[in-house]
Amino acid sequence: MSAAGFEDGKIVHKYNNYEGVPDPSDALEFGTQGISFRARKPM
Amino acid sequence: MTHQPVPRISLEELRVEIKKEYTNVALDPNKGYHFHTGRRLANLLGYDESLYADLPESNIASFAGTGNPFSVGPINEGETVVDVGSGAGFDSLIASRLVGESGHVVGFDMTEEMLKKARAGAKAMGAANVEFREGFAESLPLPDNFADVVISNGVLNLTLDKTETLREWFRILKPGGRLQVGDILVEREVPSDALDDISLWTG
Repeated sequence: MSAAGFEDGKIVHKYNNYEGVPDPSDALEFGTQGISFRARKPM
Repeated sequence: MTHQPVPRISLEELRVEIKKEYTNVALDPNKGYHFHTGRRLANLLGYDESLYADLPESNIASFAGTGNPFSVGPINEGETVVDVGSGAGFDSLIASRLVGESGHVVGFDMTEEMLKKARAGAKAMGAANVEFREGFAESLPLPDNFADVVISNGVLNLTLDKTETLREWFRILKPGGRLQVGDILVEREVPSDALDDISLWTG
C-alpha cells in the first residue's frame, strides 16, 4: 500500500471464510484468509 | 499484501475467466463455488444485518466479497463513495443508505450480468444516489481527487498488478480520503504451478 502512496495501512480483521465452502480449491492449503484493511491518502 | 506473484497468464485471459465465473454467481448464486455467497458469507464477515435489511434478496444472494469494508471505518452522510468491483451491488447499496440523499455512490464492475442485477436492485430500492458503470479496477473513468472513500471487496486479488491498481485507487481519492477494503491474505508461499492455475485466481 505504501508503494502506491497510502499511509496508515492496517489489516483490521481476518476471517476463515474459505472453510466449508461448497467447492473447495487449493486456497485453504495456502492459508488463504479473508481480510478487511484500511489506509488513507495523505492530506 | 506487498508480495507480487508473477503468473504466466495475461490480463485479457484473466478478465475473460473472471467474467465467466461472476456471470455464474449473478445468474446462479447458490450453485456452489470456491467461496461462500449471500447471507451466509455476510454473516461470516461480520456484517450488521441492519445494514442490508432492506436490500432486495437478489442482491444479497450474489454477494461474494472477502471482507467487510464497513467494519474498518465509517461511511458518512454526504460523502462520495466509489465501489471498485461492485458485483451485484451489495456494498454499494449499503453505502447508498449510509451517505444519504446528499451523498453519492458509484459502483464499477466489468461483468454485465452483475451490473444488471445491481441496477435492478437500486431501482427496486428507489436509490437515486447510486449508479453502476462498466469499468476495470485498474483504469477507472473518474477524475483525480473524486472520492471521499474507495471501497472494494474481493477484487484487488483478481488484478495482476496490485501496486498499479492501488495507485489508480489512490489517484481518484481526495487528499485525506479513505481506502476501506476487503481482500485476501495468503499466508504460505504459493507454488508456481498454482500461480498459473486460473481457477485459483478467479475463485
